[in-house]
Amino acid sequence: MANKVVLPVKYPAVTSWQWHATLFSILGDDENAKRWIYSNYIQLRCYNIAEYTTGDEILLCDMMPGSSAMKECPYLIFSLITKPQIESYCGDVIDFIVKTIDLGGYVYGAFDEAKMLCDVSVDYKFSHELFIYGYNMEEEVFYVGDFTFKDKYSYTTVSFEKVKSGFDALTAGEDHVFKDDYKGTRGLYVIQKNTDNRYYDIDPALIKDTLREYLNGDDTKNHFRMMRNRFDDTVFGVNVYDALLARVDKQLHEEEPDFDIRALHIAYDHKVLMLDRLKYLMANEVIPFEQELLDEYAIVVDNMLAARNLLVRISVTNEIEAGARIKTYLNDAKAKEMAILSHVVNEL
Amino acid sequence: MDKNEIKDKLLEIIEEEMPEVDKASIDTTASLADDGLDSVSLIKVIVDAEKTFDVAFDDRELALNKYENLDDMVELIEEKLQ
Repeated sequence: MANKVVLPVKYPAVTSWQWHATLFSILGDDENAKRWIYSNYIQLRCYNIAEYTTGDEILLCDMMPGSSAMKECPYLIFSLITKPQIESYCGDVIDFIVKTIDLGGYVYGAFDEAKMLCDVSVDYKFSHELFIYGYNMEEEVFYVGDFTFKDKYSYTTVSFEKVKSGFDALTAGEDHVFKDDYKGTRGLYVIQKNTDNRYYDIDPALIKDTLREYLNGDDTKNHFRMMRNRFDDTVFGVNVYDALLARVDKQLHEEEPDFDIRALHIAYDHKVLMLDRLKYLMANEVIPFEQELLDEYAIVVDNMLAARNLLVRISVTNEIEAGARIKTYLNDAKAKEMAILSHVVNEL
Repeated sequence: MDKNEIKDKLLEIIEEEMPEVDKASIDTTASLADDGLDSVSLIKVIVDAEKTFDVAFDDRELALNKYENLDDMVELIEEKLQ
């Protein structure tokens, strides 16, 4: 056992949800993985759901693939290990994580992060996914990535003791990572890179079909009903702009306004990734190079960033009437994006 | 108001908004992220700066990636004051 092992990570291009931040942290600039990433992550969808921590209704917006991205990505090996397995193999979770990292495996799963954020004992739990990518035996800390420790996604360290108590504190029913698909199971995922060989090529036909579905607001999850079919109120593609506007309007006009920026942030990340995709497709001669198209799409990205930042600003100033400008930014972004992506579909 | 005065006041605002940051340790030529600012804290600093300097930032000037460093923001405020 080494004194310190830190597996490679790269600050992720997509930071909207922990599953995407983890996937992008591990795969970073891997050229093989880019072929899969840019062929996917095209469709955007959203639906209303009760937040698991507070019970409040939120608009959950995400790209497709969503929280199952790491299972579906051919450039990761994503293994579920149950708590009884961890205890049987290693005795305790610290030993398990250290051994996993020694074998080149990253660790991902739900922990009670209230145990990590507070130095004193607290009587509530905050279940959240933690991404662990290294350890230091001398300092007795794990290297972790999460949104919880700062106002944005960040890499930091958490003591062995806090990770252990955060793991032990959650019961199977409180493990929200497993609750949807493996109810009654408590455990962790081990993630290994699988990037040495080329398992997936850039897929222009899939990109074209998914862009069409995005532009038409089609129900892309109909393709995946064999795997999951839980939600019926999902909005897809460019119709997400309208759902975002309705949500922001509702948020700002509640008796106590709610300034949750997550849905706007994932929409912004979607545009950043789309611009990267267009550059990649042009660089690899999948579509012709057109600087003007890239410049125009950069304005879509700017509009989404301005909308997100304006909501943050309103949360500071409480100038609710400024929310009207969010509508302008989103409507402009929608019109411009539809024109650009319709052109791209014709080029593919 | 000259650049140095703007810079001093801006550093005071940052220290007030982010008590964990020591203004003496801020390198005004380093990236804002290296100085400990993120997109949310930057917007809080800008809202305070608007009041302090009696200037207005437009929505596109709220983005972290619009500034290479704190000196960029000082220059923008100087332009707005002229």
